[in-house]
Amino acid sequence: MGLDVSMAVCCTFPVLVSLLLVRFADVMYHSGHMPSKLSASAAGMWSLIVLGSGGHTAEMMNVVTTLQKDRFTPRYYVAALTDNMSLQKAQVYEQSLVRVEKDRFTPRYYVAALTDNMSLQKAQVYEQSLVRVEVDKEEGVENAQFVQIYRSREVGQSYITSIATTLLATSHAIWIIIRIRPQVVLGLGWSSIFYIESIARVKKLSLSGLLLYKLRIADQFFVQWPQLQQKYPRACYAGSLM
Amino acid sequence: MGRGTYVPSKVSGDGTLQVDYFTFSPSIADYIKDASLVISHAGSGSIFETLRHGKPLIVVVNEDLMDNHQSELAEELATRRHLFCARPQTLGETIQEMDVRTLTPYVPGDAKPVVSLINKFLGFPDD
Repeated sequence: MGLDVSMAVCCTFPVLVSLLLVRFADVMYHSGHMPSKLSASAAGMWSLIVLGSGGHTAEMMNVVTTLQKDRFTPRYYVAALTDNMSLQKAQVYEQSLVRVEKDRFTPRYYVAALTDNMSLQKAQVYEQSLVRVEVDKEEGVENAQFVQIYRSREVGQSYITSIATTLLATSHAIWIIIRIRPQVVLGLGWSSIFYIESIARVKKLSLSGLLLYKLRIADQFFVQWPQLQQKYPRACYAGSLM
Repeated sequence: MGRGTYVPSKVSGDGTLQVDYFTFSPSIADYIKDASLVISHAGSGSIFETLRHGKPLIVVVNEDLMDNHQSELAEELATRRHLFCARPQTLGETIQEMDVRTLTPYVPGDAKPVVSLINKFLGFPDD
């Protein structure tokens, strides 16, 4: 199983380019066939969560707080090197999760019927995953990981120098994906890509969004304004995040 | 301020105008809560944080940005009467002419429909 899920709200072009390459490798490997439905098993889905900056991070954190954390785990958060706040916000949130789990409802007694073998087993798997988080934390390896990447372009940077910085940022992003889940890049795994266009885009898509839309890279492509959905009919409008 | 060279002067005490500034704050929620009017740039973070606190807002669009998509959001929300939208040259005019009673409250969005579609796609049962 490869990197199962990646989610992005706008920005962070290099990660999207590497995902494009990853998806290309995937499609080559599977020769155009959709894989059988992803295993919605007890083990969680490896999730790559791409944070933009400022408002984009707020949008993504609204999604993350709503996600079922036991399904989407472990979580790899990615943000730009020059963006100090985004990973910190994600870290604060992840720490609050562990605290809530540990402190608020404890001890937990699960009750199930004698003839019901599955329910308690599921609860046990979940509890063990919690313990793993705790142990991992002490060892410095967490259930949530935080990764920094180069920006392809800073606000106000000229388009000519942007070419060099984009190349650097893209190679770095590819390296990170290889490091996190080599199977994906080697084409052995399947990864679903969820893209959410930023709420700041009302009339037209961002460059990242346009690439993913036109090349049909994303499995699900969300926009946050109905008029944008009308312009891009393959996109999905399910209300706004903010 | 920011990456620029202009440094404003702080004014406090008995003057009719009090001026305070900071270059960075991890959370400006407390400042927004205390304000009766917020004048902000067009970043979506600042806009929605102010709207969430139900404060009257004037957004000043930076026209120097190369890919100026920022004005899209401010203009859309101004059309829906959630805020006032101004340019640096028209800010004074906007402050003089605006009527905050014409603003309508913004109903915050919800991530649940998006998350439920993601879950559905992955084959997870809906909660």
